Amino acid sequence: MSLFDIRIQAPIPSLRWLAERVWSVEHAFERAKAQARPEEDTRVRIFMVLCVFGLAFGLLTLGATRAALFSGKQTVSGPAAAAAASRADLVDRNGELIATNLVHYGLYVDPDEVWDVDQTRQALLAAAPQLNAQRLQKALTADHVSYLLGGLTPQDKDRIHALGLPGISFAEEDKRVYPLGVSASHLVGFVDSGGQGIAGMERALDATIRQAGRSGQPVALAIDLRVQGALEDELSSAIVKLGAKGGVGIVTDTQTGEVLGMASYPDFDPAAPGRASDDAKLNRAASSVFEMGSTFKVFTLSAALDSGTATLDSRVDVSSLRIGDRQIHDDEKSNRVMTLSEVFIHSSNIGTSKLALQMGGDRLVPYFDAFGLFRPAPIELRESARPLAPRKWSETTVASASFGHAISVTPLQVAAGVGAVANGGVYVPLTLKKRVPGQPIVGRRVIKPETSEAMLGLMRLNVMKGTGTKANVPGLRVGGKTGSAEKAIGGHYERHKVVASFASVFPTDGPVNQKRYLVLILVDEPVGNAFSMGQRTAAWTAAPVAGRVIDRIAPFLGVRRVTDLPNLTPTPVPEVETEGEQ
Amino acid sequence: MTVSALTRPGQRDRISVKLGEIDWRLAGLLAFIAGIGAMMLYSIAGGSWKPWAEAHLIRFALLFGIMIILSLVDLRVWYSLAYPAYALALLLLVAVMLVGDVRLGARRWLGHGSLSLQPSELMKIALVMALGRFYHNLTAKQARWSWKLLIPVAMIGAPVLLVAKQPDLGTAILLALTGGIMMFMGGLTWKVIWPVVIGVCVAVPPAVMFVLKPFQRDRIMTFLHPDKDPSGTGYHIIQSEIAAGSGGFLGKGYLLGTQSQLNFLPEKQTDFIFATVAEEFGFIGCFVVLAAYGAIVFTALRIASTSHSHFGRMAAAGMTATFAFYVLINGAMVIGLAPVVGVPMPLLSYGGTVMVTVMIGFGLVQAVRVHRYFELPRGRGFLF
Repeated sequence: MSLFDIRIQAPIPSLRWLAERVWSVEHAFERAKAQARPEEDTRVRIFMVLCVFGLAFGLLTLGATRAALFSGKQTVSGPAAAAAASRADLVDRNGELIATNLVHYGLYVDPDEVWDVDQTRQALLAAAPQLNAQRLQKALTADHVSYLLGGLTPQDKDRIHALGLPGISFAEEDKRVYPLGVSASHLVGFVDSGGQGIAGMERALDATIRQAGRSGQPVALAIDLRVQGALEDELSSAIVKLGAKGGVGIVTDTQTGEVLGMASYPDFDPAAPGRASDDAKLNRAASSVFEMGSTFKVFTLSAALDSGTATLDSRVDVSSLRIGDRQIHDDEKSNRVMTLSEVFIHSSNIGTSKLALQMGGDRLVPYFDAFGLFRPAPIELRESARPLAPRKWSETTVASASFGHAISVTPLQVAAGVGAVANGGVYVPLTLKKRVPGQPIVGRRVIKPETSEAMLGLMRLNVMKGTGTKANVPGLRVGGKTGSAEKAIGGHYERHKVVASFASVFPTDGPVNQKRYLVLILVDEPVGNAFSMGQRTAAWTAAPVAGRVIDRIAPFLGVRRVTDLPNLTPTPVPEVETEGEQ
Repeated sequence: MTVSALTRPGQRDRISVKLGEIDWRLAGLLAFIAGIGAMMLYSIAGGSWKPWAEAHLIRFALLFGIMIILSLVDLRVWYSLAYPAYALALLLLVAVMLVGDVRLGARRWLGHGSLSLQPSELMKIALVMALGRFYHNLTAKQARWSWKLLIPVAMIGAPVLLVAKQPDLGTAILLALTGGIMMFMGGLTWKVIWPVVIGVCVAVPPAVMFVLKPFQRDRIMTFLHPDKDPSGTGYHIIQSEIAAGSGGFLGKGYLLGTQSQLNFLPEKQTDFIFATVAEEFGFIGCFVVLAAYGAIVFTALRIASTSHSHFGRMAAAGMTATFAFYVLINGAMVIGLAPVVGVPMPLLSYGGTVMVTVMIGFGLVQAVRVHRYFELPRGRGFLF
């Protein structure tokens, strides 16, 4: 007992000093007992008082400990508030900054401490006009501390602090800042005021970003901001000029599956997601499903060639096809027999359907499955949507699906599938994270390398002589396939609402496993104005955009221009100008 | 120990020997706390010596000198002055009742301006001295339980009632506690102590309801439920708790306390200065200051117990108890463990009156130490 008390009261840690004190007090106590002199009783009583005071000081110290360390009231600043959860910077594949954190302040009000509600309300409304008056009134009359406003800059905070209002306090908060504004907004996503990832990579990589934030490391994304910039620029200007509702642009490295650029239009400012409409926040590349139309012929013909049911020289009569009561039409009617190559570059629905039926659904469908057309695109994004695929594969369905109808997929699924056709036949999951060099890439073989080579040739041919001529870029060996699908609205196809897409790859030549990039452009409901010569089809809307994007991004991707060989130079072929609708 | 019990006659009366007998460690602890007080006052004024820190230091230096001088005063003089001082203090208290100056809603002051005097402060010392002298002349048996104990009860009761009437609840409680603890130390039988302690505990709630002034009752009610009246009486408690709570373990740093410097904290330079310590120096600061106070109490009680005279024992222990109650009541109030009663933190708080009382009190304690071998005969004195 006495040892305990003395230790509290003697901050000097000298054992000898301590022992002397203990001894003298104990001694006085013993002496008093032994002598039993009346006065000595007072010494004992004084010792008791000392014990009581020692206890009281101990209690006071405990009280101070409680008040200092475990007090429920948290205030303006202090070590506790500074330890807010922080997120790592996001950078592109070259280390350029995409998202970072800056210290901002949250404004809190504790009604218990507010002296004058009216005065406080007026002063706050004057100092921070963005405050909601009703919400403020509610907070001022509540029986708990309320969070009024976040994201105050240090200047804002100082201005409000200078008002000297009791009951108003601030807490540091990390605010996510996107210095590039709307650029890559859908890809990057955004966070809520509490720093929780809500969309895009901020949501998909939430845990990784937090973990990296603790160690101060940035998280590198796969995108290349230069590619992203060119893609957004071309896409948005084209969509404005074409009067379209929206659009999608995707650039991937077909070998690694890395997404180098991904744009969705309309876009939004990730710093203020609350002000953007749901339509603007919709990532059309990942979350919207479309019937892609003729772009699917890439998959169908790959399957036909790979399964061996057809060769490049196989011939089909494209004059007419009737399945049950359904007539298949071509945009340009042609009463002749076409080779498989011609079917591709003329984009014949009848020819493709016949090749698909020749193969049969039981052989085509596994290929579609292998191209990932029945599953959400393999990518980190949580918003990657589920496709709408038919359950039963009747002949009609097989025929429709062969040219991209009766099945709705996201642009990212198409990018992944066409990437597999272009990279030598291996289906590689897409990724928005920069791949670590040397890390093995786990893919799945879908088609033989020879098939891939044949398809690259067909796609190149299509850009030289077929529907994709507007996408050609001198020296860059672009290949691609157009797709113009009328939208199915209310059970029938709407002639004036077209989804125009162009899936292109470059360069198409060289060894089958060389670096090859995919550019997918999708334009949602172009109106067909002077800019596209009155046309809505992909050849006039999506293909030119892809060409311009490729022209701009090739230098960044290290694709060298070569002098086009004379026999490969696209020459105008009058008889295949098939884009005209009527 | 420069002086043993075996010294040449007259040697103990030499000034140089007496100066050596003063407990300088106790004096150093007092100066340490006053220094911290000046530091905090400097911080509260926004990093300025004026208006408080400078005055605080000057006043302490002056009173420190007075304490040294008082410690040289023969214990017999203290003894003989005990009853006259008590009588004077009681008279002044009565005078305050009749012609006192009303300040802050309470009639506590005599005189005007710089010559004003709070008789209740004088009473804190006088009561201790008078009780010491009374017990000096009592046999142990009488001190334990006899009719003569009615006299100290009256001696305590009269000033307590007068001060409570002013009203100054804090001082009244302090006087009653000090008187009670002195009766305990005098040797009051346990048969009485337990019933009194229990009786007080039982009597407090009804006393709060019926005897106290409304503002006093409010303070206690507010203490129990500070959130009921946040802008009124509860404001003190809440702001003080915020200040203390925001300090954390190491505090916000010297001169960086926002609660106290932004004037959120009321009475920051007086009653609530301990909250500033808590805010700026955190738990560590609180602990160091409380440890220093604890060391003072420990040292002073040791001085009391080593005195050869019963008067010296009782007076020194009584003064120490007064000091300890100041610290405990103020500390508990600031930390939110006790209701707000106007008791300052001695030596730390700004304010002359309490410092005068405390330093004179420690002058007495030091005098007991210096003259600890003196045997006081019974019954001799200036009066009686």
